[in-house]
Amino acid sequence: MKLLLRSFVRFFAQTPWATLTAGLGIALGVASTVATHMLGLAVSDQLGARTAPHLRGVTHIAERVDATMADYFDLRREWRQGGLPQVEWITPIVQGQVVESKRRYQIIGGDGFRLAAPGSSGSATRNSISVDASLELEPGAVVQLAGERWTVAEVIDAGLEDAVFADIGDALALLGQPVDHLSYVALSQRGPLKRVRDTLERLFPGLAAGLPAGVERLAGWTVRPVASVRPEQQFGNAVLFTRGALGLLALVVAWFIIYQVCVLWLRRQQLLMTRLSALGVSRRELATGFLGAIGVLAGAATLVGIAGGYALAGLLLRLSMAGIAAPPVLEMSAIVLVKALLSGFAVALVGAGVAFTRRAPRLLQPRPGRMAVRCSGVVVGLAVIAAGLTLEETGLYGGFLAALAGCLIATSGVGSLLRWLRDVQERRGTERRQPRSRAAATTRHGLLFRLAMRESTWHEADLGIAVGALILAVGASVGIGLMVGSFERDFMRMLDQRLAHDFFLELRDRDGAALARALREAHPDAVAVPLGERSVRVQGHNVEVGYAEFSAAETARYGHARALGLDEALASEALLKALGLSVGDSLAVGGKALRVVHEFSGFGDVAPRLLIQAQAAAERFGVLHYDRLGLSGLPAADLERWLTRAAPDVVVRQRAALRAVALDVFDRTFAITRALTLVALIVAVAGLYNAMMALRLNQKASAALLRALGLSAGEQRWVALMRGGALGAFAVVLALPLGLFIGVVLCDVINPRAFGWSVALSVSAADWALPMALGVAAAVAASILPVPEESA
Amino acid sequence: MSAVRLSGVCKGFGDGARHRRVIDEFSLELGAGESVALCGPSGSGKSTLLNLMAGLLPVDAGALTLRHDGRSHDLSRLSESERTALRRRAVGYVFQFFNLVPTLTVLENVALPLALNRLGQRLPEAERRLDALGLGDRLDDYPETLSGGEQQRVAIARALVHEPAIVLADEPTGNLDARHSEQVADALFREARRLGSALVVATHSATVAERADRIVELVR
Repeated sequence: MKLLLRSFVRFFAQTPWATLTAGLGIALGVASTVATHMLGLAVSDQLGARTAPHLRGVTHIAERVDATMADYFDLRREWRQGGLPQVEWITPIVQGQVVESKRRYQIIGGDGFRLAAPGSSGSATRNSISVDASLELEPGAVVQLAGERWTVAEVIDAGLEDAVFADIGDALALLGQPVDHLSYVALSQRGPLKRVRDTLERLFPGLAAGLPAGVERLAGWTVRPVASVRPEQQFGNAVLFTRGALGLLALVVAWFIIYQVCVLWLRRQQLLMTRLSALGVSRRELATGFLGAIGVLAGAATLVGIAGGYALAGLLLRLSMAGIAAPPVLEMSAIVLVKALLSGFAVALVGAGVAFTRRAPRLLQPRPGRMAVRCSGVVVGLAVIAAGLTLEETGLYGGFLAALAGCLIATSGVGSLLRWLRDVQERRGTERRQPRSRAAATTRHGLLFRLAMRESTWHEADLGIAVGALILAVGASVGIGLMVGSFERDFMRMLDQRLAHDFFLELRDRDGAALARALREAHPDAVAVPLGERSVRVQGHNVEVGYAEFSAAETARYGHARALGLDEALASEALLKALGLSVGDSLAVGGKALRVVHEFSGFGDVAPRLLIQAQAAAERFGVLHYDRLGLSGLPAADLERWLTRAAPDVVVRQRAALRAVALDVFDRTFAITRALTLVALIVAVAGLYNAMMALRLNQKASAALLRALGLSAGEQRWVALMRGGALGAFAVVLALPLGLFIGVVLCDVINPRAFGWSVALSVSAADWALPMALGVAAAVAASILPVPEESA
Repeated sequence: MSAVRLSGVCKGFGDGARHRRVIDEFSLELGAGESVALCGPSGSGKSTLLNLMAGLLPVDAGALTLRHDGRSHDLSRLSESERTALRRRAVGYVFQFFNLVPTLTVLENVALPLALNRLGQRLPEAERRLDALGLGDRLDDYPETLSGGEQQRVAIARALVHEPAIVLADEPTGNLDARHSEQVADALFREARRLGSALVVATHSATVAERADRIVELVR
């Protein structure tokens, strides 16, 4: 047995170039797996660290109309008596807003022990508060709130603007609420779904974010997932999920390639195995020797892939997080290593085993496709697509499974399609004796072209998997490119609308209405619009209600043509989706009805938004606080002079600067997405080169024959180039509809479900032409790149 | 005038201490329409000689001249691309194994030398020759559907279709049974003679060698 293994391993040593490229295929697959996992984990950890303290570990919130502390204690009693086995723990939360010295504070009260930061000792103490970093206070600072002095015990970067965290009794005092007041009950779910979620999160960071929250049932209470009170967490989760799903795509491409490497090696060792078999070596011994050798190669390649993946993750992180003060930290965890070993070592061994089982018995010829199994797979795939696209309940998983099913259907048909093309050519050859066909055979280029075309369809066993991986990578690249391009165009249109004012002034603690009046008096031609917003609970959802003097010019910033009436509102797409409303429907805010007259895109809004006239807001919320001012019709120098005199602490942001920042954020958001797509493409190209190289090595006799017939090296390269071009064209022709499908799914299904906004798919040549050109170029390059003699 | 002339040709393989001379001072002259059988044990250099005459390998020393289109071409002075161009026009080759391009039909395989030499107008003649070789009903079939004997007859048709100055055959019947060997050898010698091409056959078969005008015995 040792001798057998040695013969297989020596085969690798005698073909160093082929071994190197095969190892590279595995290493690239592992590297992309490691990189996507580490990136997902780093971003996930960063988002997790920003979870507000009162929601740490919370999975759901429970609400009821006019809930009181007594209701909470009833619930708690039931839980303690074992009546709520699905609940791990529960805790009451109070929440509200106060305006102090013209500054708005969000007060959040909970259990003192829960509010203490992880790692800190003890709980929040009486008259001590924790504050969000956005308030720009230092620990030990004293704040005057509700007539009392409060000491800042801790500053938390929870990402909750103007938030103050206090023990529940203190929060009630700050809000001026009675002692039995209750906003909602936070609870943590336990059970199988939580375990599934935790396991999934460990294995595929980000993917758990797409799992349904599993709505609990508590009699007399309305239970919602925690995201309804923390929309920014939902937003972050959606980002994580899409990244995780993309990582999974890279993994699938990598697995394709690794399996393909095994198939190719098996084919290359056909002669060796035949000889060994003739010597009496059993099939089991052959399999062991082959698997052992693949294991040696895969083990070494996996180690290289892990190191490469770590470096790649660092590079991508630097690329996408440039300029961020505290970028996420990459950590090489045991899970990453296990996953890398699984991707490289285990998949290679399983792939080798499957390849051996499928192909070895018939002198390594591919088994004829089992049509019934294939058809069943396609039917199941189509059912998954139909369910994923039409059933909203399937959530993000439904959308991504639909995209994945589309990918698998497209790639699984490659071998059959190549076989069909070959059959068509053979039928044309045997059934029709066409004069034109004869004429083509008599011209040099005509015959060589025909030879190249046939070569591209003749070897589906060698090329099918690699071409499938290329289709997958190019299709994903086209789909993601279409989505990002469409999104960018929509986003630019939205920016053009929103940034209608020349300047936006951030007012800090100043009274926006008074400042606008003073500005208009000093510069009558200037248009100054105070802008404010507050967070309001509407039908169980946290909604940001924006208010301003919504003239026709101001509503035009949201794509509406006329001024808003007092009972009218503009609603973001996310709000209408969350509340199940449409334009023309009404909703109650602050006890009064508002009719939605227009829907606007809210790309980048983490919470659903509603825009109403300032007067309508005052009727509902009382005194209004404006924190921004939109300003037009005033030269920059005049504005600067006036502000220096009247309001030196106001921060001025110019339209161009805001636009540049927004576009920078956009580019950074998609930097990793684009980079991961590119990684998938590179992995596919490496796989294709591997396949082409193996094919060319297997065809050495054919090449020698053509040379003996007088084909020059240039003509042989021309044939190879045509063959590569044909394969590339074949791949991109299949990848284009797949890419369009993925683009539609991302724009119309994933985006609305993940972020609450849809993207109008606009097909621009730049979005699909580049990946397709890359796909063809990769196939051509893989065909004509030199194959060293030593690989023979 | 000789169709092919080898004078003191040497060829070896390997470097330094591993260098081994396979052809040592070999000379041969063959006129148009003449045939010679190269016999000898494995490793005696039969295939190497054929490859040298085809210009697939460069000679190490000596002169190797092919006569084509009324001119003599010294292969030892030609570049790789010039040798390829000459091989395309002046040489026909028949191998023992893997003789046909598997992705081209019978007719396309035969048409390949015509296409390479821009002699497409001779295709009808090629069809007639294939018909005469008993392959008229297999023109649009792929090689994998043919028997070994049929494949070799197609290879002979392809080697002669462009009327080369010299036809080189490397164990053309080595893979066939006795009956098919007879058919293939008949076809090869008959067609070469008809076209006036010089024929060099490397073979272990005495019955094939006997058909040649001369027999050259090579030793290791």
